[in-house]
Amino acid sequence: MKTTIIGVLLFIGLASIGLTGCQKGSLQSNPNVASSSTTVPVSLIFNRVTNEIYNGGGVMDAVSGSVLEGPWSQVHRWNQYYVSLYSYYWGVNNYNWSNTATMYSMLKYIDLMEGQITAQYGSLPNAYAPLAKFFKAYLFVWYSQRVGDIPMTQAGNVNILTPAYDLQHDVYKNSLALLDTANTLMGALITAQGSNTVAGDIYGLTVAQWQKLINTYKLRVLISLSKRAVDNADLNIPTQFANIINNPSQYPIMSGNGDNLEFKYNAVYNKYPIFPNYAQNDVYASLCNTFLNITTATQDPRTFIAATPAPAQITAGKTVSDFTAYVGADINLGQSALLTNATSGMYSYPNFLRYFVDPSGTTEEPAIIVGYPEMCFNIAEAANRGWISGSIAGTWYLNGINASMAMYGLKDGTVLTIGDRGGTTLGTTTVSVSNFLANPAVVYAGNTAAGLTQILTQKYVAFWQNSGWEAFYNWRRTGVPAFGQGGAGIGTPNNMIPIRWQYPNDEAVENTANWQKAITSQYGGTDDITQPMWLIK
Amino acid sequence: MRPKLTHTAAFFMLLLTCLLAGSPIFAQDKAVTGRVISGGIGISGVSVQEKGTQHAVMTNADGVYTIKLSGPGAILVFSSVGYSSQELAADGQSSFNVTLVESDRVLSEVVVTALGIRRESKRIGYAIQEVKGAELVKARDPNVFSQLEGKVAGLDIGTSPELYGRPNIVLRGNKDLLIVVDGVPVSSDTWNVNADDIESVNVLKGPNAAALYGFRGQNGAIIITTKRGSRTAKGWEVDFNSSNMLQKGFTVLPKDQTQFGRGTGYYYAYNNPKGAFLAGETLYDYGQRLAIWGPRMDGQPVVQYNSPYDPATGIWTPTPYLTKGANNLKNFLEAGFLSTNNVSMASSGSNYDIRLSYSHVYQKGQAPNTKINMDNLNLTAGYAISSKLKAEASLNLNVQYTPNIPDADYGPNSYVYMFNVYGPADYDVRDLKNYYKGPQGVPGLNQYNENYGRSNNPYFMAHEWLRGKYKTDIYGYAKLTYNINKDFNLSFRTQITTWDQLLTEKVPAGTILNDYLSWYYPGWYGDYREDHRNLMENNTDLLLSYKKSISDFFITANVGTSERSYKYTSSYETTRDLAVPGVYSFSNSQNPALAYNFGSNMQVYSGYYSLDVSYKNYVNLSTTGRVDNLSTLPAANNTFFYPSVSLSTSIGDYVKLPKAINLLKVRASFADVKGGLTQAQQGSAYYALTGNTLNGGLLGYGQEQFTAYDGPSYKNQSAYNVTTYYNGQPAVSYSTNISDPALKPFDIKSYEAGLDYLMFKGRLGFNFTYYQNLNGPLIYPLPVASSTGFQTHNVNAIVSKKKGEELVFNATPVKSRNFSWDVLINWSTYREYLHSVVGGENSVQLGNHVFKIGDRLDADYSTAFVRDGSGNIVFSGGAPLSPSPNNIGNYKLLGYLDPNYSFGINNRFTYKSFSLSFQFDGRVGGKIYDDVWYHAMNGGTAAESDQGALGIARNAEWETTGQGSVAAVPKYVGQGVTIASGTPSYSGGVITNTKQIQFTPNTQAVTVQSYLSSGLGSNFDEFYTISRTFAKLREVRLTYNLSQKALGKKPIFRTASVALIGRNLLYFAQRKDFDIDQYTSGFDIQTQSQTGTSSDVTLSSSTSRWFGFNLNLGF
Repeated sequence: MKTTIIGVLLFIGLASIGLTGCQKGSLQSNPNVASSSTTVPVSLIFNRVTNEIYNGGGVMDAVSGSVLEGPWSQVHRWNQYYVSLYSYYWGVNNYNWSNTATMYSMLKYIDLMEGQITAQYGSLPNAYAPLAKFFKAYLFVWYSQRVGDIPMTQAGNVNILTPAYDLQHDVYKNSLALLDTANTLMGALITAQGSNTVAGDIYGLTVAQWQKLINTYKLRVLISLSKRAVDNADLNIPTQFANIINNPSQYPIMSGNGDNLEFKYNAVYNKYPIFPNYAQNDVYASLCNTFLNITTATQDPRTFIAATPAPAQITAGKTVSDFTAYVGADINLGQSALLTNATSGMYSYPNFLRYFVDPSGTTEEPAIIVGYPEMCFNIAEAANRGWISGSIAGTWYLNGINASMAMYGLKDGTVLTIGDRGGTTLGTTTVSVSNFLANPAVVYAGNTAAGLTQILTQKYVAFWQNSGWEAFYNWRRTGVPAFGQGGAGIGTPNNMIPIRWQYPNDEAVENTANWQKAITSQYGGTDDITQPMWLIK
Repeated sequence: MRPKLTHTAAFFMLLLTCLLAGSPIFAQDKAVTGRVISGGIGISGVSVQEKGTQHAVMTNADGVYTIKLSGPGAILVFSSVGYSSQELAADGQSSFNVTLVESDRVLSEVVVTALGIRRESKRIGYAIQEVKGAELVKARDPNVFSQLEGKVAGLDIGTSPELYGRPNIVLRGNKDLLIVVDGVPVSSDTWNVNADDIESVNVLKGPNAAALYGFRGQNGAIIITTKRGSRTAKGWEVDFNSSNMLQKGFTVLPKDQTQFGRGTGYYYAYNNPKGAFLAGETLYDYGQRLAIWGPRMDGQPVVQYNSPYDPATGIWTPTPYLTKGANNLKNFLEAGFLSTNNVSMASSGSNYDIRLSYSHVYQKGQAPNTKINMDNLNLTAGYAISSKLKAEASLNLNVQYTPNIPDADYGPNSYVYMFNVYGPADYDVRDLKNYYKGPQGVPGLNQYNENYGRSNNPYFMAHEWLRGKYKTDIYGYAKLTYNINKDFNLSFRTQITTWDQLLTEKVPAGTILNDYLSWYYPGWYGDYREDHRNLMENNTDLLLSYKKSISDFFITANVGTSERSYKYTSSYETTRDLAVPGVYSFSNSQNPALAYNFGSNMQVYSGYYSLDVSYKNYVNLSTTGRVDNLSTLPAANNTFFYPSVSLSTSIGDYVKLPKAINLLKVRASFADVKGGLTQAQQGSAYYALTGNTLNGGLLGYGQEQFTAYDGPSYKNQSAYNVTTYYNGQPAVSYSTNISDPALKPFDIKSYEAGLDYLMFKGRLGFNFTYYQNLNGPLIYPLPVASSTGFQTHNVNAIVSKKKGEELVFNATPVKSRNFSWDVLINWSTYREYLHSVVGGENSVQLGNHVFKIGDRLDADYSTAFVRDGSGNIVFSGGAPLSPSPNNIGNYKLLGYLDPNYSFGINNRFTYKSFSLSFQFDGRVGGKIYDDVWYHAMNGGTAAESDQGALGIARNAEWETTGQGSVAAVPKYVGQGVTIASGTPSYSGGVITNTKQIQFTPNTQAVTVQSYLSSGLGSNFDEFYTISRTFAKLREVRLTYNLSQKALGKKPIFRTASVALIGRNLLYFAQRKDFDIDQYTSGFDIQTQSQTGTSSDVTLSSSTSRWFGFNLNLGF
């Protein structure tokens, strides 16, 4: 009897100990993060969006096929500014392209942003709403120019897992319209509230500068449509371009390098991308001759910004001021041959003292995403093509060159220290911008084909290590400057540079019907990287 | 007062003695003698006991015994291992001679099944295999689970080559098994179970056996039964077991070339002025980060780290360049040592049992200044309060602590990296012992090293860069059992499993990290990091059991309910560059310290039943069912039921079989288990929050440390994570996965059938099992079109089908009085195929390949050489050509990752008191990527980079450099062809139009360095993918058991044995530069991961042999 009572008491005791483990409430959701229904300050989402355009599509989520767009990235080898001599440290030079990444994750963030704007601002004017439109246009154009037709109207919707494709023509048309609306909303906002910086913006631009950027970017998009300027009247490409130039109060554009959309480095969080590891492997990268051939032939002082003199040339007795001492490598050669040649001192290396010694971006220039010099050349090109009236092409051409020079602090009499590959000082040189400007190859040849080539060539030089893919896209559209191709280093079956990327593999596998339709209507049924898209046909 | 006190004390003493003795000591004594024989010979060590009392003795060497009995009605029980027990009534007689019959040992085997229920193995309808604890206490591995390798068919243990490395435990190709100790699930890091406390290990091989554990038993379970206080003649026993082993001599060690030193392009100079990026710095070598592509060590003058240096001018004087460190790794490593000591005390009486066991494990690693310590205290007790009520409790306290364990992977934190990948022979490691030696060394600030761009002084790492681990792990239960009547009993049990773990890392000032760490810069002041994790889980069950024989039917039934309550918390903090070197504190950080924390809760309510019905011995039918309510799943789908049923019949019990056949049992079973949104392991709080490893997202180096978790995965939620991208500004990231609020639990349907066969009194037997599992539809983040803005969406997406076979064969070919030979062979195989895809699709992309229905899921598709029509490798620019486009459409099948089969062969020879046993096991077939080889080739270190055509070219190139003064003339011509004309087109990595293409032999020479680093590089996984086959002579034990005779007439020792032991003595594999053993399986459907491809293998340490001796004493 007694033991039974003890037993019962023990049972009760144990049971009460055991049951205290019971936990109340829903345990399904993750207590460590903010659920999708949480109110999140728009600035925090906007911060992500502004980062994404510096990095390039898919980079922040490490999507396969994504390519960083900052300085010294793979993109700038494809832009033929420099070559890698050693794939283990600096990657490959070849153009063996396959599936691209996309920028749709940015669309996801913009959609989240727009949801939060509605919830937090209602109909109150704010900078985020027009900026959302700008970034949308940016991401659709970014992706479309890589592949052709893309989903736009049905994209970014979790309820449509197989979005239909829009024609590239429509993507551009709608993107231009988005940019126009963004500009109008920005104008109204400035009228109502004046111009402040936007919380969350990593670039620190004011609302007025963002408005300038939107229109400047629109000029880039319009000029990229030069091949479609005539046969697609509904796009009104020349008219839209002229409209911006002729109505500066309605469509303000950048007025100098101070308006550049540029990523600035800092020592702790966002180091200059090739510090310090690449400095220790600097022996494995050389300048590319596509770039150096242009700058040395025109005695361009930006040669000294980019490169060190080739060691063999210095050994042979040339001075650091001698442009012929600066020699680029031919990207057509295989990496092994390039390394052998570089080891024997044939090629110029990246300017060590500028690009390898500092993590915080004090010796290096910031990474321009959309810049004033490019805008000048875009306007010059439009003028050359007769899209806008007046003999202004030469002026804008010079504006572009001068802005680029100013960015590097280059003017007549500037003394530059020239170091060797390892950063040891070899000597100094005194810059002459006027010599360069007086070079017959640089003096503007007028609104002719030769003049256009000059504009495009100088634009290419101004794109050195910046503006992502623009150098490549300009070459693809115009053939200027002539990129090296035909050799084993290009790495494609015919050793020619491809002109587009393949669609992402997930589109082929998970959105098969729409993808099939798109490649059939555009490329005869194969996702062929050698066939031109509507934009550049 | 005083006398009274004494009296009271005496009374209590007496009472205590009564209680402990648990028997009526006042009873009248009567002595009985006799002899126990078998086959005409007296048998020693037979236990003779009076039933229901403490009266017990052992027979002597001649089988003679004398025992005192309590009365004329006493019943004597004679028992001994290997013989059937006998009971005899004393009937007032004074002498008994007894003949014992050898038992059919295997026939009457009892095994432990789910919930700790003991059942006769011949009545079980599913695969289960037992390993006795005694098998695990002699030839010790630091980790008890590693010792199970080769001992159970279908169970593969991937022993880690790292000190304190957790073994991979894989059962039927599935990872993350449920570990159960004494009937209750335990959160186990595999270190918290002490081999000396194990009575037996029963492996429940599939969901069929483990269905009663619910979703946690989906992959099967390892059921550990601990020892309890046992009844002996003395009423108590003390056991002492000690193993001491030395780790020496390598079975796995990469072979390195020793001719060429550090450098690039056959050029090297310490602090090459053309590589300095700290202005004016001449003392340190910060500016160059070199592999082993330097000059040949011909004695030519070269500036080296220990060449004379003039601090005034900053000028170094060159010294002869010679091979000085051909054995650097061997010289650096020390002999490892493992000492395992256990003492246990046990006692029992008619109404109690108690066992107390304490163990200490000490292991000294091979790397200097590394060790682990483990204390384990285990206490188990049971007390019968009355004939109806029994209370039991058990507590296991395990403490693990180490001030420093090494890390092994790709990075400057790892000895493999610094010796085998980037380790030249141009310095003698012993010269670096004084790691703060000048001129480079500054105590507390800068190390003395042979380079400052690539790696660290290994002694500096060993003594200053410290990774500590401190863990306290407790599990235990309290249980009450009440016998309602002879048919029913009720038990209530509450259990707790909890642990607390702290990992620390002290990074000293001056550590070389390059940009592995984003805030690193040369000469920095170091860092401090802490990773703290805590898990607590309570399982409480109430179980009603019923046992009844009704005519020819025997029925066992259990009905139970349980509640599982789970809580986990973790935090991770790191400084960012210490302000004061050497002070490892979070407030001592130049930039704000980073901190992350993560917590999770889970609750599971369950109800279950099991019903076993036997008809005579003919048929046994078992069914189980369980309902789980799981808090991790969407409310509409979070309660689910899983059934299991098994059937077995022993044919010999009703069909007349030839006399030699003792058992012929056939069995079949089916089980269905569900679950979802939990994960077996968890990393740091940073990993838990962001999904990125510390290596991948924050530090850039180091192995993520995973611990047992078995909690919510939170993988079906769309949510914002707070993060920072730019200059410390706050920002958010959002899920890349689309969640599905209608997600259903996954489902595993398992079918199993088997045959158990025994003949010649169990001297020959085998059991065979065939199983087939349908896994799915699994909750799977299926890729989604990127135009949705997302990467994946959660779906109950795919079903895989796994088929496998297991064979256990045992034999005793020889058995005589003095000599016997026992053999146990385990063999198993499995294959997993894609069975179906959601929405009736016929293919799905998983990783690197689009799999079609029916494809093996362990297929490894990756980069491969392009070949001409005759199989020659195609070159371009002197390097192998990649197909175009170089994407998954052109990846080739490199092989299958899963082994074809695993095997383990155990042999035991017994001669008189000696026994020799050894185990040979391995896995055959399959492919794996050799990451050590790849990195060593890329680094110019691998022996093959200086052998054959590569070696000839490398030496010839060196001859063209004028001792490193001019660029080398390329000499290596890859064997193959180049395209002379025509444009190839590709499909599946193959040129489809070879007829239109003209191939000519490749003649373009490239340098060996460029060929291996840029040309071959990591671009062709085909090259570095090797056979996964390996075999090991796992353990050898030569034991001498002191006979009863040797122990004497009045022995001090109950038992005594000494053994010479060895582990990992031989290793066989295609390449012996990394231990394949650790990569247990190729494909795991539950984590959707492939193991063994180029993307998931990393560097690992070499493995060594263990030698030692074991001493076992029983008092």
